[in-house]
Amino acid sequence: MTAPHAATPAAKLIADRIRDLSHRKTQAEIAAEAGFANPNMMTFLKTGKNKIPLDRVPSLAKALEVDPAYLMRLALDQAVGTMAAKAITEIFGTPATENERVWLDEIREASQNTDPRLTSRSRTALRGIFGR
Amino acid sequence: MNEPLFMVPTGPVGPWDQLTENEKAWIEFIRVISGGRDPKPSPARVRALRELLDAG
Repeated sequence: MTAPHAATPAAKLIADRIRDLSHRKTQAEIAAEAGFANPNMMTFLKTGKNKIPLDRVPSLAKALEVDPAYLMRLALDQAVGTMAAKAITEIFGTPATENERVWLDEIREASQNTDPRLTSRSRTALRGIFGR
Repeated sequence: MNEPLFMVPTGPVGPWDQLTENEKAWIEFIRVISGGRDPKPSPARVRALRELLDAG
């Protein structure tokens, strides 16, 4: 079985979420919830045999319990390649996730709406807060 | 930090073009350093961010 999308972050995310949800949902149930007629579709997506159909991102995000904006970014990379995805998001803008909206609100409130610049000291501190 | 990395989807919020260039830079940097895993706000993270911004 060829898997042209095996190394993509989208395939990895799907594999991770199927594993995380396995105590509550089977792969076939996730596929059905996402609207796929083929119960094996989740296997194809997590192994990278198939790429995520862009029109299924909202229902797939709901079935996998991930943020749809985040999944759309990864699906777009997979669908058209990183460079084309970057060009698309430059034109249409990158959707912000709900978590990112919370971070923005925190930044605005804590800075008293002074629109702080991202300094090198801020970058270092953020690495400590969010880095792995 | 052992809290779940993902939350129930609520949909994209707010057009990206309504953010300032500085705000885009903050969010894009968070995406890069977190490996694109959309980190969930936690009390410890929020406190650390506030301390950073309070320090000016």
